[in-house]
Amino acid sequence: MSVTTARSDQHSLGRLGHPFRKVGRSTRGGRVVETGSLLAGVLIWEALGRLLQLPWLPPFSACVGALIELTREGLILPDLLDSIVALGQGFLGALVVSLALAFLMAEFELVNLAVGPYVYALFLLPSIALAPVFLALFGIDNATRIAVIFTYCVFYMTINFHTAFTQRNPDLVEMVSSYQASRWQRIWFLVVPMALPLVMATLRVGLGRAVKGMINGEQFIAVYGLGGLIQKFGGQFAADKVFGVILVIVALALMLDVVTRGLDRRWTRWAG
Amino acid sequence: MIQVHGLSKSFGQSADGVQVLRDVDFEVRDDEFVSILGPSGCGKTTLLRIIAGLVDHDTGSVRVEGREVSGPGPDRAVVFQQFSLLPWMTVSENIGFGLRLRGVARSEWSRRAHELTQLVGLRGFEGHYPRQLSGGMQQRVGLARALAVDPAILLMDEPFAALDEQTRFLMQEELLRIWQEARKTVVFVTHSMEEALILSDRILLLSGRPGRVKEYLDVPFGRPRSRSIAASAEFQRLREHLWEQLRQDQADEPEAVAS
Repeated sequence: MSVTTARSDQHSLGRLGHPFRKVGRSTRGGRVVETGSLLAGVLIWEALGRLLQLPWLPPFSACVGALIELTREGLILPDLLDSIVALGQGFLGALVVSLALAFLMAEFELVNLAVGPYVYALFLLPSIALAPVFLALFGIDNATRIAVIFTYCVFYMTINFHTAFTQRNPDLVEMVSSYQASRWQRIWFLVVPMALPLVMATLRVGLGRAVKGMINGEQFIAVYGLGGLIQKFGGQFAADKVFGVILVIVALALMLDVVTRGLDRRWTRWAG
Repeated sequence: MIQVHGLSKSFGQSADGVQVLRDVDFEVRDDEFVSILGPSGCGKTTLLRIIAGLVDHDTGSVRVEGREVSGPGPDRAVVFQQFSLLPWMTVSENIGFGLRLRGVARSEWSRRAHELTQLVGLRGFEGHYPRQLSGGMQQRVGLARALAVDPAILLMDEPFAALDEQTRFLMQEELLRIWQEARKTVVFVTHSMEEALILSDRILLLSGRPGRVKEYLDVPFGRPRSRSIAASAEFQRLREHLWEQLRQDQADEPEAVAS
């Protein structure tokens, strides 16, 4: 009996559902809209660049040309790889620390009371304000850049992970305890899966913040990576080269987003 | 066997707290199907949760197989009104959940889950997630999950209250069939007189708040049973009797009169 009921329920939901649901990211229509929007942006950029002839707004094609030239000269790839390594170190460090800290804050009220105020205070502090401290501490060194990346995302992720780990569904908590679950079973079977959608969303935004931290840190030190290149070309007023490097950063950020989105879809498939 | 003696329960501080159960006494024999019926707010669900070990009681005693209840135990499993399925687990994983918590090997819980999907009529849906199922199907999973741990006692908290009428009727028949196949002691909370009469061997009728035992009624219909007994004159007579009892309580409640 219910077999048909469930299927017809799903059909009617599909028909009556949100009108934009059909143009989700994973659908063909969704991909067309997304690609179309990016193409339109590029075309507008190209047109404005050509029409306005402003020194700070070279056309898209000129920026791509500059990027190709820089790549040929061997200026982009080493710095790109250098930036990615630092990003990985800073972000993964922040991820481990924020997950552990948020978990301890969620499970032990004492930790929450003792550490919480620091986390919130440091989250509100603009992370770049700490860059001079790191510079004094580590000097013009890769460690300074990694520390800036770390602080850009660690407090934000801790606060969000803490929220994720403290979500409560009293009905499910009661169900789990009715089967005599131990504390660790409750965490593994209930707290962690329930937190996963918010953890994944936080991961995506956190990674974005890490990229921002990477560029700001590199600009601050002005020696390393893609941010260092931006500082260098900015000083030479070479707008096409600056935008060329920015294109690489945008492409890197988009690629990271595609990867985290893929993981998100895979791990939270149940949420529909 | 479940033995409840002199049970009382209040919520909140003693001065302005609300007493929901007062001096409740009753017993449920092994393999017996008992429904708890009573007006809204009479403490039916609280009584069930106390037997489940999910809520502490203030005074009196609750014993299962002679042992005082001090928390949830493997001899009891609860079927919840809101299904309480884990949305990130498939039908099969939800059914095997209690067994997994007990450290049963994957092959074993998954075999048991497979058997139970057949028993509750969900064959072919093992890999579905709860959101892909109708309410009736979700409650079948809830029932199968409870049966999977093979408890001596099944505690059902208005399990069909969230379902539409047709599905509720079908589920009642299914429950009669399943209970016939896998005999258990069942305590079933309901606010439906018909449901209580169709399913039960005995009906524990509670008074309005604070809930006290008003009557412990024997249901005279034989087994196996189907919903068709609802057409009999005896059924109508018992239904009228239950309604009279409930109506007296509703009339005593000032809010009920006002509404």
